[in-house]
Amino acid sequence: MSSFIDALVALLHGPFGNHPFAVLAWQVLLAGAAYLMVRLVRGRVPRQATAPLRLAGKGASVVLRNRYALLLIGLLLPLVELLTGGYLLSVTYSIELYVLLAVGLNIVVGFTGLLDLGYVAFFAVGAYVYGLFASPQLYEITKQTTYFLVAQSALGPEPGFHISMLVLLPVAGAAAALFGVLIGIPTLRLRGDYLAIVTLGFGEITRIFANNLDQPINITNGPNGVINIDPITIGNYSFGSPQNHLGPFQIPPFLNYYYLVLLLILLTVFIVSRLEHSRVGRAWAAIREDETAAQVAGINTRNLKLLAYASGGFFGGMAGAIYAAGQHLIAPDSFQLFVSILVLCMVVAGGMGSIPGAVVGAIVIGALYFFTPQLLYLRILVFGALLVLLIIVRPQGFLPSAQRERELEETDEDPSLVAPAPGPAP
Amino acid sequence: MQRCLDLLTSGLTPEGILQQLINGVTLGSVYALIALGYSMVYGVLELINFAHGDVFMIGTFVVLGVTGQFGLTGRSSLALVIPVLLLAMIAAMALCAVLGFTIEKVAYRPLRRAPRLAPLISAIGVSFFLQAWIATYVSSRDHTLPNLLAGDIPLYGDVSLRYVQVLMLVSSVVMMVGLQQLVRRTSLGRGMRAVAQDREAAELMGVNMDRVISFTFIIGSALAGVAALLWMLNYSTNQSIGFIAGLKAFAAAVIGGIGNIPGAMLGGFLLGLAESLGAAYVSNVSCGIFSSAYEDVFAFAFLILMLVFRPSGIIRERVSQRA
Amino acid sequence: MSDSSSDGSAFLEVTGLEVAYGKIVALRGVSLNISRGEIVTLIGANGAGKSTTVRTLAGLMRPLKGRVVFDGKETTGRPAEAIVRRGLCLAPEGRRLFPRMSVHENLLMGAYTRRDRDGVRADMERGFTLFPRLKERSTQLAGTLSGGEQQMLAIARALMSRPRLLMLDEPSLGLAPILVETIFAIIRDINKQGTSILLVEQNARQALQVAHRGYVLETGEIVHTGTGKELLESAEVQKAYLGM
Ligand SMILES: Nc1ncnc2c1ncn2[C@@H]1O[C@H](COP(=O)(O)OP(=O)(O)O)[C@@H](O)[C@H]1O
Ligand SMILES: [Mg+2]
Repeated sequence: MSSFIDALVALLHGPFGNHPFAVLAWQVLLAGAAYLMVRLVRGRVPRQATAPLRLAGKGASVVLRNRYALLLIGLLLPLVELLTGGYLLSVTYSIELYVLLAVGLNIVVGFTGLLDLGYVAFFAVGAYVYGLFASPQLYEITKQTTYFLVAQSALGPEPGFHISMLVLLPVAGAAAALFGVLIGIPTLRLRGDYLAIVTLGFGEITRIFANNLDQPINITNGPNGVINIDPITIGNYSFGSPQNHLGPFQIPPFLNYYYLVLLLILLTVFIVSRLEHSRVGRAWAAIREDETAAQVAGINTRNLKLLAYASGGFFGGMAGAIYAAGQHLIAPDSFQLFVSILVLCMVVAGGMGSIPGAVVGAIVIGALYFFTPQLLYLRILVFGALLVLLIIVRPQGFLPSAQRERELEETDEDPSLVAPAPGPAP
Repeated sequence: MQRCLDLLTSGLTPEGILQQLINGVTLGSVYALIALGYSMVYGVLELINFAHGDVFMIGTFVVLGVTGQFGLTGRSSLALVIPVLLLAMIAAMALCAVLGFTIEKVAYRPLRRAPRLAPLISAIGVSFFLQAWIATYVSSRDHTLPNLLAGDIPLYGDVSLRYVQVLMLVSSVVMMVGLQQLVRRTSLGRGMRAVAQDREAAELMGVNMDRVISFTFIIGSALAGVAALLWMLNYSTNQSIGFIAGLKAFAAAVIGGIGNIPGAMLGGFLLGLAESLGAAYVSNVSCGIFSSAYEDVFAFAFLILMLVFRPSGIIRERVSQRA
Repeated sequence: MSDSSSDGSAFLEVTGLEVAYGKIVALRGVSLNISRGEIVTLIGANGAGKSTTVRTLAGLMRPLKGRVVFDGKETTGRPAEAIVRRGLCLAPEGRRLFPRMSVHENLLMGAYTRRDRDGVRADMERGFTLFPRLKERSTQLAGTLSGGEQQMLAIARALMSRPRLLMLDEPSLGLAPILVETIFAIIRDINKQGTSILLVEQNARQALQVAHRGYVLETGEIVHTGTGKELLESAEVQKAYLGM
């Protein structure tokens, strides 16, 4: 792996020296050569030669489209990883959380067409709800109040609140949903890119507050974050403990969380696909296609948009709570705009408005991101370039929703739409 | 209560406020120049060119590079400083223009007819790429220019207008007037406005869409190059400066009514003022509850309020969109 | 290949045009031709495919099949911008002015492809004599004009490119009857000055009265053709399009 990274670094750096222009010149040459190669090769390679590739692509597509195959992979993957040492388990787990986020954001962006660049706020709200109420963090504030004495006697000997995940999971979801409604209300009239900027602003505001609410009273512990967050426990079984055994096998904590999140994903996908095919889902689609028309057709667009934010928020909040429990600590830095952008990329790259698309988008983009060389900036460099390449090669996403796929297939076969498209400019 | 009053009276002196006004307007003039790039591209393509802030950032590094080559220091003579700064500006404009042109061609043009969000993702990818490129191959630290053009014009009490600030104000106003003339009076400018108002009708008039779009990116990016020089005269840069500066510039564009050149200028000034007054006096005005750590919260809150209540900007269009 | 082919072959020759929006087929093999100096009208009900036809000729859409030859040169699949330069110009349905530009600027947009400043100035004067109303309003924003004025501006703007064949898509749409008369009179005038015209109309009677020849389009196919007079007198056309 590391020799691969070295080779990549060397390839990108080129032989002309360290001056930025030397590197630039080399990379332009490299890109030009790659482009020429593609141009030359395209259409000239006999179909037989690319058959294995196409077959592999087709196979992957069939597997990815089949939810049972996906589930089977999801179930077995960590076990395979354990056999190879288990060091990839934490990455796989992170990708899983992103799957949950992508499915949630897909409700807002994909189903309803509301471009949300502040989705991380929901994740943060969920994480802080769990973090504050399942850690010693609030001890300092509450110990001065008489309420605390009562609460403390009820909650046991440990300082602070230590409420169970069973209670806090829905609470975190609900809090994030409420937050979604609060953000939604002022933005109801906004469309498209403006909405993106406003939600981006709300996301950043949330993070800045988390970062600064250690004064005048310490609620969030500021940039240091909330620490010593309780792991999830069910009965006597602590998810966070490295001492769990199944027969002779030791169960690493990530494995517990992995399967928990997998369960949550199943549940979420089930609920969200029911939503998609309900009256509500059809109304969302109507709003996405043409909001004015939807309104004229008697759809209460205000409530339905708020519902979309709330549902998206709910799943984001739950993901946040689980994340907080798994990490034991949360800090504002984990809730950067970057997370929102990454999740949005997953939804769009997967194919907007399709649940399998969101899942597969999260897996592919997550893998791209987490498995690109973990060299500080090189990783972002490669990731950024791949993102551009990916969207240009497949602008409709990996698995666009059936309806959009139909529309797009039409444009693929139909040269009349390759010319300037009819109707309003895209 | 008493504490709050004290904070108010001790903090808010007329001289202090005047100085902040001056700082705000000069900062705003740079935002305005960057804002024009967003505004023009949005007008023509209805695309938020997320990478525009990063084009500006690249410009700041070009300026650093050129001035570094000539070894400018705070004690260099004007006879050296002025030509070098001019050269730096031309280099930044040229490089930014090439970059903007390339970005459009590589990352946006193939997506002209793609689903609406696709170009946004592409823009984000470009933005990541440019930031990481600078961090990897140039530097990931903060950089400033030496204090060139030191000296100031005393105004009132200890309030003064620095030469640098004069230069920033004058150049940005000149650039904006120039752009306004270009858009108003030339055939190319008319073509740009036509595409913005009705793309298909513009094509029917014989406007070559690709050419107009390329020119829009070239001009907007070259202005970002000028903004980069002005920025470096007074502030510092690093690889991520483009994001927040770009966001604020975009806010300025929106405040002024997107696609509207004098509006972008006004929006830039307003935002610069809000930012410098906010940062200086938030604590005094809020009774010490909000520190300047909340500076960006106020910037975002301002932007959100603007978008929610005046999405068409503060200058009303004279003709409604339908017509 | 000579540019001015006065050998009697059609000025505009369209054969077997097929156009679709996605899976919706709008034109199924439309063929028509226009000679130099003619006014030809294309009539048909709403949704018959009239606009699709002229939009395709203007280069806004690319046909699946078929050929368009204008003045001896193939223009099939060329971009709109290149087709205007050849002298084939469309004044689109719904006028499509630039609302936030003045009347004067809209006219200049019409002359976008031209570099001969004096010629443009002269043509603008000609436009103003044709439409005196526009002269009075030359600094007013197009979006603030009345419907009739907008239509006049749309026609004047199209003329600014010095088209050799002018296509007008429903120029009488939404105008008061008296204005419709004026517009048709002006169309005849323009034609007399040497511009060939393809006139798309739902207002079949008046269109057939000014036109030398006409085509009737029905769900993407040409179903009748003949001189204006023949079509006016044809029983089928009368029944379907003239409300008799
Ligand atoms: N942008 C479009 N998308 C899909 N179908 C369209 C579009 N424009 C027109 N059509 C269809 O093409 C057919 C012809 O339309 P059009 O050329 O506008 O008719 P006309 O101008 O004769 O009224 C109609 O059936 C119409 O529904
Ligand atoms: Mg029509």
